[in-house]
Amino acid sequence: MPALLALAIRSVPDGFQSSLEWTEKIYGNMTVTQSFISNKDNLLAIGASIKNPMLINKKNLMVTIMDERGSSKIITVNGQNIKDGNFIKFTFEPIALAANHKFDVTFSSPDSTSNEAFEVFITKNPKPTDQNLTVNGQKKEGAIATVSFHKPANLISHSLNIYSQLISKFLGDRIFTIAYLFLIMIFLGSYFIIFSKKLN
Amino acid sequence: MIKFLKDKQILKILILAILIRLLIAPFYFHPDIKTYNFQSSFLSKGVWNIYDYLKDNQESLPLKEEFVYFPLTYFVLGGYQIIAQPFLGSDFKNWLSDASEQATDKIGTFRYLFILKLPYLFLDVALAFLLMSYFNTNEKKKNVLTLWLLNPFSLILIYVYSNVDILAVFLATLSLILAYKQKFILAALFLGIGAGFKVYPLLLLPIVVLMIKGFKQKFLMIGVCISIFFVIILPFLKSTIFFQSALVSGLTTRMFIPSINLGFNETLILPIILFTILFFLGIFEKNKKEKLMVYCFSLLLILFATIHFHIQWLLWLMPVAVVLAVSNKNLLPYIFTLITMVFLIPLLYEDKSMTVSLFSVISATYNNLPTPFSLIQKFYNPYVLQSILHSIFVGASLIFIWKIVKEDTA
Repeated sequence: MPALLALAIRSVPDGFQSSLEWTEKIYGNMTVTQSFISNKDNLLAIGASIKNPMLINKKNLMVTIMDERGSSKIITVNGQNIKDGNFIKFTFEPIALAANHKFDVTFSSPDSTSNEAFEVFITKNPKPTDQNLTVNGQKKEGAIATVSFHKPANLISHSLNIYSQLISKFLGDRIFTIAYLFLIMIFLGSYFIIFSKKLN
Repeated sequence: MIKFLKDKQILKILILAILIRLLIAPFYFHPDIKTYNFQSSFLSKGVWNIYDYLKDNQESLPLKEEFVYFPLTYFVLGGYQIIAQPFLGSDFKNWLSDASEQATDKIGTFRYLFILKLPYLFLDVALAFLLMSYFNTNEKKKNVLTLWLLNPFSLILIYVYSNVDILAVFLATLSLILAYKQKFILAALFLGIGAGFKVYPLLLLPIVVLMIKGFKQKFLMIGVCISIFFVIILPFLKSTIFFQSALVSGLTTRMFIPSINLGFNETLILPIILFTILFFLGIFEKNKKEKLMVYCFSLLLILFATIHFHIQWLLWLMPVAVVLAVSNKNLLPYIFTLITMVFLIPLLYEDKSMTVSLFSVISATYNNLPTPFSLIQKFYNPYVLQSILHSIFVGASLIFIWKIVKEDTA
């Protein structure tokens, strides 16, 4: 079953989300912008953790992805679908040639007021590819705790890649691997010994 | 038991069952196993009251959940970790306290999951032999062993969902079998100890008490059970956190939610109504001893029919369901259908850890798969679908309970 499910994976994160330290508010003219350099091609989503306490904000949260080459994409998610503290994936049409290009991600919510502001989580441990966090035009320390998602180039090779990584991880703990496989062999061997005795 | 191990067919089933469990255990991850083991790890640091400790140190701890089990769970899991420490290795505590998604990517994860689930394997196999002791004929003993060890439901509940409830389930089942064999004081003892892990065994106490003749013996059994339970929780009764996180837990509060409002701040509580009906039917039951498992199964079915439940709780039902199915083969298709239905309900919850994230130890990218909830959401309201399925389950359960309670099917 995991092998079949692996074929259904349509987006792969580039790394893990950094630790969540504090938040910046998004409402009215208050926007939060982050630049980052994509490590891979086929960029199709940006994920971030958003606060929306008690689901109070039912207005739209907009995420604008601005490519350094001039093109932009705007993703709108309604507050009703943003549960407090949830990790939200902002998905768009894949940008094929995204590797090594800079993108600006801007979070805004022009219709929201300060009483119902969305909040985006910031990390004090930015990734090497993160640059220039600005809050309402002012440069600040840290970075939005984002994760970029990319479309796998080939589903089958991606699935094979998952299983080759699994095997490396399994073999990485050598003592356990040897003991575990030995135990499996004992039980498997015992089963077939009893089975063959029954046939005889 | 040794006599049965000489039977090649039983030995083959036992070896196959253990093999399947060994192949599954390291490769499925539910976050609960990390959470309660992280919390239990403080026993090695000399912490006795885990409830107050977690609250007092919440700000500094990487995992901030409350300990929602009863004290014996903490001491047993904490004690096991101390014994297993040489096999778990030096990086185990770091893995436990890693709250990030990267934790399942660490080398050593397979080892930790395997070792942490080993006690479940022992109890699981022991349960098989325990269930065998319920029956007198060799055929039924073999059937119950096979059905318990090879049914997919308990396999998934224990090894995929890392179900620590196996501790309480083993003791509750032991108690029921002792009660069936008319050893009521021992039954009361183990029921009380089981409640020291999780409160659900206490729900079975009224049913077990029905089996006893004479009021003196009934009160003695209730007294022994409640006293044991009280002794276990006594050191923690002063702790308000213990009340909030364990005593007033998911089960004890959810049982009081389905209700009919009478006005004037009074409500009729649905599970209590149905439990009472079952209890009074039991009072007039002529064949109490042979119907013990029927009534226990019916009580647990009522519970799951009337509350919003965690999938792990379904393990409570499994030993009794297996005994019933073996006692009367005609019931097997109905029991299988009911359990399949009740299994599907929590898979529709909006919770990644119930479905796709179970594979995250294979690769973290599985976390990005859509859940059944989000897939259904594209074309229908998944909450309505959950409600429909649960409602069908309620109707089917009530009729099934009526049938097995009223008829001589044991």
